[in-house]
Amino acid sequence: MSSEAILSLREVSKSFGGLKALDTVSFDLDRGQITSLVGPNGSGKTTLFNCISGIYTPESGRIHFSGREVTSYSAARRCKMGIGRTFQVVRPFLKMTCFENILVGWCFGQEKYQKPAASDADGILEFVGLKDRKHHQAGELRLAERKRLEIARALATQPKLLLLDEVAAGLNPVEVQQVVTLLRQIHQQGITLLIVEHVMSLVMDISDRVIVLNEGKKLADDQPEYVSNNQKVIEVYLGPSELDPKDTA
Amino acid sequence: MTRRDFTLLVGFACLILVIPLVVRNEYFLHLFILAAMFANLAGYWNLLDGYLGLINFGYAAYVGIGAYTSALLAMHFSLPIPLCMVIGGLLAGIVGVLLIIPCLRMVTFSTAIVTLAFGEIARIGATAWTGLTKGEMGLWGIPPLFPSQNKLLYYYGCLGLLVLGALMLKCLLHSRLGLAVLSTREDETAANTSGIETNRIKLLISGISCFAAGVVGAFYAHYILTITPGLFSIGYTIQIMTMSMFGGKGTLSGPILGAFALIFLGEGFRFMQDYRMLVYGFLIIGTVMVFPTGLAGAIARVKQAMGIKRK
Repeated sequence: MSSEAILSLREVSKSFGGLKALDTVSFDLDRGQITSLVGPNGSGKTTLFNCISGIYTPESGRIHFSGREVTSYSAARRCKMGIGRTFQVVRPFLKMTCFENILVGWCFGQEKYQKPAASDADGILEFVGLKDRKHHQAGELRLAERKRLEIARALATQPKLLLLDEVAAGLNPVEVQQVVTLLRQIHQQGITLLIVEHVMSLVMDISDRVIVLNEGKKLADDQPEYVSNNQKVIEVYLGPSELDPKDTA
Repeated sequence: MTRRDFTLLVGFACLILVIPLVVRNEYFLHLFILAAMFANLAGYWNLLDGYLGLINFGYAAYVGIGAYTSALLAMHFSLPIPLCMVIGGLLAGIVGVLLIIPCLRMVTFSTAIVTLAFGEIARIGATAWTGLTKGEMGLWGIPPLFPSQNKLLYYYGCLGLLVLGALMLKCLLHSRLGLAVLSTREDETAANTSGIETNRIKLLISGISCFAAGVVGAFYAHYILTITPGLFSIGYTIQIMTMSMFGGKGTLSGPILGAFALIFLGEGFRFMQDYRMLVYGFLIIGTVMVFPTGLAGAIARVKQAMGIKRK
């Protein structure tokens, strides 16, 4: 584990029944980088997120965050330490207002409780572009806005590492562009980002590094331009090439 | 709260305080005392079901535990009765927390089954443990809370308990803890990843709610002076639940409205004799169908409609 690493996974495995959702996955995330996690459906991306954020405990392997082992810590404790996350299927508190949603993150997600000031919440809402929605219930928001609200709630916990699970899925191109801008701004605040994403243009656009998962195993781990030319990755995404001599044999 | 709401509230409070001085009717006072106790219970049931999203079908058992504990302590050790009531509440709270611990690993609906079973076990236990509880014979000769059996004192006593209970609920729900309670109901996983230990919240709120049930049960014991294991029965839990839903689940005023409305309606329908419960049942179903948010929701809608008209 290098001193630069904010998050470090060592041989993390998790299975559901007989299915190995994660098979000895190891990697380090450097502080301040944007890393994308890609892979076909069912390759274990969300399971990995759940292991990092503490919703699942891995069966074997260890997870270190900010130099401390957090493998057995609860999700709430990891959140307080600085791991924020959003969900693939958004989960804002629907019957609470946007303001209250952020207040939850602010009041419970920080390392030490700080009395919330109205300006803090306003600042976060303005940052994600939901200022005029402050007193609306989360259930009244559009999908794109709900996704922003989730990001806002995670930001209110003052994370050091933010896990974003498919923030661009289901959004139109204009909204995707807005998300890219938002992610860049979050990154500029010094927050390390780990992103699960299917929108490849976004991945190629903003990532410093791309990790490819397939059937629970790490397949590739490199800079985006190398990964997109990696033969194994292309096979996983597009099926084996017919010209491949190994297949015809 | 607007100025008009405040004036209304003060007016209402004065009315409540003066009523028993004017209406010198023991039967009416008894109904009022019952309604106030049920209002308190419905409010704290609502804290679990309406705010936290945890259904507890064994709620009457905590009332029973509080009542029996307090009564037995007062009878055998002649401790001061307010102290007995607090100890009764504490025991109910502790049992409530212990029961929820295994439920934390289950889905919400399994909790309903576990608590339902516990309620029955507690009732059968109270019936069978004749050495302590005198079984179906019931405990009698419980020392009264107030030296003279004047209903007026109990009227103000239960009113005080109700106001205290409601104020505590209001403070709790408007605090940081209240925010955690609501987000646990809305989405447990999201609450976890926002830094809330939802299991601790569930245990704490269960403890508070069952404590309140125990204290009200103890008050009942030292008011009625005779208690039987029937106090533990699921029927009471259903009644408390109905009041909470009829009045408005997830609101502060709802359960209080519901308890008073159902107690007095139930009595008001006595002239119908055998058809009484039938009409009562249909009325509840009808209200819940027309106003899914209960009486409190209906009032809010009427107020809103009036506000629009005035504009």
